[in-house]
Amino acid sequence: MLLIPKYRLTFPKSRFSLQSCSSTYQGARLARDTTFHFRYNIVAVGILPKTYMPILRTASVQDLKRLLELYPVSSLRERWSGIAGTKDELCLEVAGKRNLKDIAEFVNDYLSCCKQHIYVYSHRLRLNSLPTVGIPDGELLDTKSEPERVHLLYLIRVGFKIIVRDPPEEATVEFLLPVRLDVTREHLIVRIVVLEKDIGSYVDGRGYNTIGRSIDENGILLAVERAFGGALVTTDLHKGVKKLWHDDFMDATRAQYKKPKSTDATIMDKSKGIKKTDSELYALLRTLTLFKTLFEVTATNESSVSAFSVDPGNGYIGFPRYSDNRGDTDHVVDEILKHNR
Amino acid sequence: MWLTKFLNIIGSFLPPDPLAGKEEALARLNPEKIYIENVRSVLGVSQREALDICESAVRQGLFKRGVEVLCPDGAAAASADVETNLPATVNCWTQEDGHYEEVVLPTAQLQKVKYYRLNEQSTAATVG
Repeated sequence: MLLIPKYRLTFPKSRFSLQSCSSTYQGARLARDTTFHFRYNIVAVGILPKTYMPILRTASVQDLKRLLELYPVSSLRERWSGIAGTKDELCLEVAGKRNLKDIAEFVNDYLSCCKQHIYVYSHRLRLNSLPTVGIPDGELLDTKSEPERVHLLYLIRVGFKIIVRDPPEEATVEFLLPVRLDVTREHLIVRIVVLEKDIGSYVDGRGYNTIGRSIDENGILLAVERAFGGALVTTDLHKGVKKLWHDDFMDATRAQYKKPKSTDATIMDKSKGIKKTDSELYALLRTLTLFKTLFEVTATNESSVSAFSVDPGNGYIGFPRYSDNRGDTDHVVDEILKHNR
Repeated sequence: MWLTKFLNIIGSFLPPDPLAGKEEALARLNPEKIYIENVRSVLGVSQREALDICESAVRQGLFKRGVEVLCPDGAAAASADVETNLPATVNCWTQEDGHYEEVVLPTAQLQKVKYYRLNEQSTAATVG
């Protein structure tokens, strides 16, 4: 009997070990790696998950188009260089062709170019004994194992319930949201792509009010934290961030910080960095707790990342702009963590 | 020194006594961006008198006028000599659900603030 999981599945909460996956299904055609993704899907349908992808198979053309629209036009043009037109036209054409394998690969390969909200945790688990992470309305789309890193790419169906005006009616607009878990020996890095939801364009420009969202970032993080069963601790990024700032990798243009008797904020004028233009404040900030702080990258290292934000005590790194080169945002995260030890 | 010339301009509006002890505070003004409120508060004069002093400095070639457009969070996004030379739109940062997001806003809808800056040519001539 085939056990076909629905695309809106909730993964079982019991823990699978990667090692046991490997040994249990040694006879199966595990072409790429041995994570629980393969175990789950191979048990269920007996084929490789990359060719299965129920969340993509059941997605409408509009779902796929909205998914592609989360990516920068430079990435879309690099991948589908033969297709001309605007970003909107390009996304529609690619979505219309429904080459799901192509789309799935693109989603994974270019995720680092997207606007992202990243949450960093520390853990002491072994890479070969990671728990199964089930995210509501999510599907594990792809896995990749490197010697000291495991990548788990999820697609989550996020629904926005809205009330459209003139005449009033209730509607739901859905988006496929890519989320990647990068697990290293020390850290779990949750990368959530920023939803560019122009809901107004899906209701013919009619006025609307959002009344609910099926799952938000807190819901995703909660699911991840629950799956790891208390093994995760939010990583404080102050040390790494301040080291990179000291090394002139970047300079802050907006900062919130805790002084002994107040919480202050500094908002610099355009193109003015705190370190470069206010050395007294910079010297003070080196000793203070930082809250939400926005940095512009100043290092001339050919990185296509121009700005990022941090909330160091909450292990948060945000990339509010697209970047052109694959892996550049990964590099910023890696540099912060490298200097955070 | 630009400050000497500026003190002379101030002196033509105010009796010399009110300036006593205020040279240091005046010297701390950022010559690249002098707001009317800076001058008013340092001299302890009315806003009208501060404006007259700055405009006099412009007429005598010491200052140039400037205007900047402010983002909703107060950051100066762009500046120009006159308002018509400001860009039609500017990039600003906002916070959406606690995350920084960059938005493009029309300059016409944003607050503008006038300021003065030192006329470098005038300073060079003075120094020379």
